[in-house]
Amino acid sequence: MPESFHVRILTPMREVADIDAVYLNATATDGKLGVMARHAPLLTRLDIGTMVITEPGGVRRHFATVGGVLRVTERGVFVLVEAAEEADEIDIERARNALERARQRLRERRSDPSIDVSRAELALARAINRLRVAGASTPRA
Amino acid sequence: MPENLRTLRRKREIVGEIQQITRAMKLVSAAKLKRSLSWREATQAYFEEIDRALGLVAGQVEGEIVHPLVTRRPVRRIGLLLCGGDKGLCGAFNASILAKARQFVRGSDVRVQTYTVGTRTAEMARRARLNVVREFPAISERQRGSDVQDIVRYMMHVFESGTVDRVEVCYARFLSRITNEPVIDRVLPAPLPEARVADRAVIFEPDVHELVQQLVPQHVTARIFQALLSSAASEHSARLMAMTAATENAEEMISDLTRDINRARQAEITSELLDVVSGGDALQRQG
Repeated sequence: MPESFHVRILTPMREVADIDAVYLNATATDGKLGVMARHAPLLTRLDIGTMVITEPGGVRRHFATVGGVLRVTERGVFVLVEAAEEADEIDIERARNALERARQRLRERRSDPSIDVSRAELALARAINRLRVAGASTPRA
Repeated sequence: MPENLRTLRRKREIVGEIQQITRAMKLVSAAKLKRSLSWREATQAYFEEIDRALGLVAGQVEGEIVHPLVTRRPVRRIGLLLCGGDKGLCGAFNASILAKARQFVRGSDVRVQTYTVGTRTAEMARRARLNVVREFPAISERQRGSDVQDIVRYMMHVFESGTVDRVEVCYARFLSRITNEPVIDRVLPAPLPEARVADRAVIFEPDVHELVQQLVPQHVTARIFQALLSSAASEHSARLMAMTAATENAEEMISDLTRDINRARQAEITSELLDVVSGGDALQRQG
């Protein structure tokens, strides 16, 4: 069995995970990133995306993460993100509503100059990501 | 029954009812305090690790970190975020942070605009004639942090847009279950953690500049979150203490009233006995 390392996923709201892992796959801003035990010290920026953590027993856990950083240290791996949710705790209904709201705002941007387009785009990306991680289909616009 | 005894009994009943309420509020505050402390604890690691990461990046940057949220400029106007609660009945909690804020405003040579958190705080700040330009509701765990994010976004907006040149946060820092201290901390331009150099070479991806862009807002968010969580814990502990004292006072009043009731009842019995005895005497004398 491969050597394991410690992973903590932390957000300003709560500690999302505190687990042992043998492999971690994250979405960094410049591509997918894989981490195994004894990885060199690293600090990288994360994108909105999926994080898959393989536990020593072989169980793979999926998390939806929103902007932040990942740091590899000798004390373990720290995932410091604005928000994170494990696949089974994602509220699909809520994510679908967020998706619809973001699409609505983007549709109205021409007629309503007060709409913050970049914020709406970000909300859209987050909602799509959460739905993807939760394994739910994304309703067509 | 004489009027006096009846009034005393009614009074004792009312005090008992009030005590039931204060006791319930005490229990609720204890539960809320426990929750807000565990929330605070759960987020502590996040704040520490963000500071560590930013310190590491700062040690890597040549010169100072450059980011709109850390840029100092001449101060013409200050924004003051006043963290309080939605309700009273928590001793001097609201009054002490308000006093701190007023002292700050009086001592400032530039204009200060105030943003309040909590409806009770907003009311008090308006009455104290602070220049309140925005009112936020008190934070709640049920909002999953979206209420805190709204506050954070607004603070960054007023600073970046140049509406104010500095943002301070005034809150009751939680020290222990029985003490808190009203303080004012600068949030923007963000004070940075000390630069650190790692013992082993660290890989920075994609580059240090990108990491600064990501970490500085996270750092600012963390500072505001910390202030709000500390304030919430202080508020619940203040209310817990106030309600504990109120419950004890009610207990004391009930025992005083019980004594008065017994005394009044005894006096009534004595006077009735006197009536009977003196009535008997009179009859005997007649016979």
